[in-house]
Amino acid sequence: MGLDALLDAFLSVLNGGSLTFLMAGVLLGLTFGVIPGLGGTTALALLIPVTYTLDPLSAMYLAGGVMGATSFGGSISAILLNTPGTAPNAATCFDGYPLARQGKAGMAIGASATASALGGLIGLFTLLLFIPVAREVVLSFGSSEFFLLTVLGLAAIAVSIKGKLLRGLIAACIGLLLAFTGANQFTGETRFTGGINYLWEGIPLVPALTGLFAISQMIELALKGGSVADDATVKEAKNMRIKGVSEGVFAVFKHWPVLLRGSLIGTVIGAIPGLGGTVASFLSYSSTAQTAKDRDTFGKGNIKGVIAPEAANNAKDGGSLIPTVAFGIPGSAETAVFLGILVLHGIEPGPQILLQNEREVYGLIVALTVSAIAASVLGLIFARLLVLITRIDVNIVVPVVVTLSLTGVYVLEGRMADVAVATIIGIFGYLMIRFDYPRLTLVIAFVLGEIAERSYHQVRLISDGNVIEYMLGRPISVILIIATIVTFFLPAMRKLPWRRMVGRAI
Amino acid sequence: MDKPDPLQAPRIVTSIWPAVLLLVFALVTFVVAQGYSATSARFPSMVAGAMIVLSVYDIWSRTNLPGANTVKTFGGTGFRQREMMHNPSFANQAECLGWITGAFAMMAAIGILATSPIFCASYVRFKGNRSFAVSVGVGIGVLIFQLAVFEWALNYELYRGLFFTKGGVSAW
Repeated sequence: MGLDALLDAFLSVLNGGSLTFLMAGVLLGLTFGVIPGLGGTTALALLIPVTYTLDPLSAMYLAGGVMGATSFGGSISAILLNTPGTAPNAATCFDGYPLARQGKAGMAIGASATASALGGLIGLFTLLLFIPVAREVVLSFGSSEFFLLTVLGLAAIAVSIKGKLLRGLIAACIGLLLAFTGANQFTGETRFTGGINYLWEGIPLVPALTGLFAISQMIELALKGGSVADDATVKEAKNMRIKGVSEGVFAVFKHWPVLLRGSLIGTVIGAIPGLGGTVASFLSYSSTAQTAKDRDTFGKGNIKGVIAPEAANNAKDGGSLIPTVAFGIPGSAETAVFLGILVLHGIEPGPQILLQNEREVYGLIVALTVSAIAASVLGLIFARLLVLITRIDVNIVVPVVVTLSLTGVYVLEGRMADVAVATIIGIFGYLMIRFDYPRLTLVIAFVLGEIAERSYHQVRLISDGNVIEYMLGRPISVILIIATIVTFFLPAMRKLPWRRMVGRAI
Repeated sequence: MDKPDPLQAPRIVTSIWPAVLLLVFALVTFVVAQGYSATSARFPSMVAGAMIVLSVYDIWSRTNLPGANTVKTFGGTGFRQREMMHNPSFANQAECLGWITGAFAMMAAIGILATSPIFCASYVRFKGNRSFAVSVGVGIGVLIFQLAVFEWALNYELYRGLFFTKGGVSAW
């Protein structure tokens, strides 16, 4: 059954229309990836209204194109400008920029493109292998497990956002409370609407996502000001000779263990909700540097220092889709916005995604696969041109993105109230950035709030009010409860004195 | 004079006030939830209750009270991994938020199509200090994009503003 859906998705890509959406997504992803401060999440948030007019599969191709291309886009500015386009590309700067300064920009970009494409493919292949297992697991789930899985997902994300456990949990509570606005699905009673009819159906997801990830990001970018890269740096990059690309491509195959290790680290880290590409690429870089025989050359232009983080950064895309498509728990802001696109097309988030929307899931996998390769090829061709984009003044980017975001939100339902919601949530999102409350846990709780409440009420009905007793009687529920408790205690366990003592002894 | 440590969070970020505001929000939500039926109130009450407890811990970790350091250590409430490492002045932030709310107010008043070029050109000219020609160019570019993509290609009618639409705010 899965193979049919996969073939169907591949055939659909061969159809001209789908390929156009995919390529449009790739170009947009490369552009947004190159410009620091924008990134894939903003691009996806901007795209949501556009996907509304498309069928679900075409929307997957557009979104997949963006998701698969931003990482590599970010590596181009990291190598040529020493300015990472997205946070995970920071690790690529360590060796990518020194290589470019030595006149080996082409080699670095070639290696980055190949490692990105192959890393992405390894990550997606792992996802494909995991899907049949996940399907069996999800089939054995009931309401109790659905509820506990949401709690576990939120706990894991809050815990993994380093140094922000408490504020991450508070943000999750805000997200859940926002999700409760509107008519209760069980009683029909309206809650927290303040007498505003518009809120009867709850706070709409798309304006909320646009506000949280496009508007708030633009406010932060506007306050940072300036242009992404100064003219001198761009001029230097423009004059760099991009040659020796094939040398870079071959270097990846020559150092295949580095590629493989980076890809595996990326896939595993990506699969853990909340950790994301930055942890994956830095972990991959440091493990490669520490175990290499030529470790002294790292940071001075070692090609393995480009391969390792780029492979991990792209492999994490496949990994991060494991919790998203298998259990409906988005592992990153990007996959949360992606879930928003699914919701817009009538697909319900949660563990049922894999069972009910197989076609779209495989469509996304195909889109990401093609995108990973296409982004590398297009990136190699247009690298010099893409660097010029970074010359653009932030003061031009901000009003254009704000205007287009708000227009996009309006055209979705033709309601100005949606624009008001996007603006208000955008300002709230900025305050979250300013006061260091993670937006990720809020948005994931907001997306999953409804399903969590419904599952909880179903458990109450089934168990006749004895929720705990009922859950403790189900083995999978018990495992999930234990996993949640352990997750909460992980940060504390890391800081226990006996653990440090044992560490020192070892 | 020593340069300020970029990892050192600004006082306003580490102060108790953001956490106090969230505590108030949680308390209000909890109280409001009690007005609903038992089924409707159950989950919001649980979440608001949890948020009250977490906010109290958050406030505690921001003080010098006994045990605050323990909460900081085990609750992960430090500020060294901030997303926003720069520290804009209050005036800059107010100005920026003013631009955004101004854009929305203008869209509400005279419509999206008219606002887009005016907002973009004004922002580029006055906030970005770019030349008149560049500002107008950006404005016209955005207008052409809005017209071509939304009005003509996708056949949407963008909002024309309270001044030019019947029904007022209730039509939103």
